[in-house]
Amino acid sequence: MFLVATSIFVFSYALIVSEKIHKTKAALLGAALTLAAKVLTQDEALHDIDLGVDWNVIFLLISMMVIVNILARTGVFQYLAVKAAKLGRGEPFPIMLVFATATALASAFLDNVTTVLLLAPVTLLVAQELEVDPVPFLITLALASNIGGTATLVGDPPNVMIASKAGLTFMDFLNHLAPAIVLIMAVWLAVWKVAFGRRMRPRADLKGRIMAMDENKLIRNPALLRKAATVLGLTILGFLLHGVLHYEPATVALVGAAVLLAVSGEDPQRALAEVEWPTIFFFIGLYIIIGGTVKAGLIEVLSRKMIELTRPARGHTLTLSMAVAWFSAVASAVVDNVPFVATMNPLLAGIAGKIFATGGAPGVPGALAARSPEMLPVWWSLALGSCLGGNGTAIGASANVLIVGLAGKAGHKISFLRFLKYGLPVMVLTVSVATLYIYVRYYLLQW
Amino acid sequence: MNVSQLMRTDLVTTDPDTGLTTLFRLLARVPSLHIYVVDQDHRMLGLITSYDLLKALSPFYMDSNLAKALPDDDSFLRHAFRANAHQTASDIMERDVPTLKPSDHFVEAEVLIRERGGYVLPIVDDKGRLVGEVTRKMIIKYLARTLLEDGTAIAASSTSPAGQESPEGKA
Repeated sequence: MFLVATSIFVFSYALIVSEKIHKTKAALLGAALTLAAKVLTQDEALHDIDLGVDWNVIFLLISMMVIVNILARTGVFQYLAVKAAKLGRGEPFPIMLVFATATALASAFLDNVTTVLLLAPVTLLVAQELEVDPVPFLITLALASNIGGTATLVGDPPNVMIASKAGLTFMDFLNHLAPAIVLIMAVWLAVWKVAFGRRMRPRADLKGRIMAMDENKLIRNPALLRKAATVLGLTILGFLLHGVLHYEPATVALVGAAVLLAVSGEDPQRALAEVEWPTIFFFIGLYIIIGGTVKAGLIEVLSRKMIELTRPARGHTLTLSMAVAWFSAVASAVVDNVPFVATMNPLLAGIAGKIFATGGAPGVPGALAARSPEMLPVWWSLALGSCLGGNGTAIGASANVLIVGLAGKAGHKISFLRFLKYGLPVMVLTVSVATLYIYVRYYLLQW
Repeated sequence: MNVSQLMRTDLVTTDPDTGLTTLFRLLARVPSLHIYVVDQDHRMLGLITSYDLLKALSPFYMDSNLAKALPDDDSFLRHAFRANAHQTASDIMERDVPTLKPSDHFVEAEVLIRERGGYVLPIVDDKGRLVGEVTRKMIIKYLARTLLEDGTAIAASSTSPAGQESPEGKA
């Protein structure tokens, strides 16, 4: 069974990385093989908490997509983007700063790809009106969304997966990752000022074009906006309190989506059709493939190797944290961070099971060990590394792929190398700040 | 009845290298709402409708909601036109256009237009050369003549110029 599961894993991941076929097809094919070869039973794939699909992640993603799709229909994102451009007084670099901050903030609560997709049209329009190259603006949007998305439990799919595996709450992410992201944003934007501040000279004759835009005309449906904004606000409040109220984040999101569907008057057929089903089924497929490798013992072998390399022990997880952060960053720069984290989650849970073992069947790590406080910095390293690493290359994150596509469509081709020139230094900078943060906060100050 | 008995043969054509400005000028001048792109042997390569031209003139990211925020002057359109002026007919034409042969049955034209939602069907010979077109309006006129008692009189009184019949704007 070990060889079969390993072969399916390698075959599926090779297909995903090669991009020969759509990643969802590759993941579902791998899942089908895992079930057909009886590496996993269907019951395990659908119901086992350690081996099967993590429905907490699946329903959180679906619910947030429903809420955001309905909200997007109100025109509020276009309104906010034009407002942001005017906040930048029609000058290129201040606009870039405001866009970066707004994108990071929005991405902290909404899906990165959706945020970028909603803000990119206004970015392109503003760049055209200011007669500047839109490429630095667009890449800034992608980088900001990947950084901002790291700040909360719902900001980026790897965080959703890590939270579910490690039993972390929304407040945990807010307390531990949000300060790191504020620091990282400040450092990154300071560097951006040096890089772009002088190059982007404002032109007095063009400023007026931005300031003459009327953002108030962009709200399509004020009644729907009130409802959707209220539900989103209450959903975020629910996230903040889910740990205290003992609800899973998916329950909070599902309630939000159900209430919004009920009160919005939107056609459920349309609202549900707009859910990114290929992404959802990509997750489902991956969970089944990884479940197979956990059951067959591949993850067990990999976690032993990682322990040999980093020698973690109670009170000694610094090397593991640093290795996880940098390894995740480099890996996520070249492969999708979702399959990467899907693999790392059981691997780290396995390591936790060995170091902080509190029982449980061999090879099936107990959830309690994964939730040990001493494992916290390691989980944060995984979250920071895998999310920030996505900035490294044009294919490192879905938002980057989207931006490259949109720029090309607008007649501004972004080559792999051009993206790398922006993305790689930002990745190295932000992961350096992140690892420094982890070292100082958790190992030096032990805070 | 086959389509060759119904089709029109006075078509507006251009070659694939024609620039956007020329296409714009051409389509503004002729009564037709579309231009066929053909090669040297008159083989059909694609179709450009007024809808394709409007799409090419305006950036893809602009939608009707975002347009509301623009200032009243036409600087945006001037910009967009300049930025897209390098495009040619082959860049903007629709390539996946359903076609019929002159010998195909008229009912097939009627059903194909209904299935694809377009307003015009090019007719090509066995070598792919453009020989004519059948439009939705021509089909309606033929049906009126055939099915209605006073259809002949109705069809004869129709005054709409050839080709000006695209409520959807998409071929």
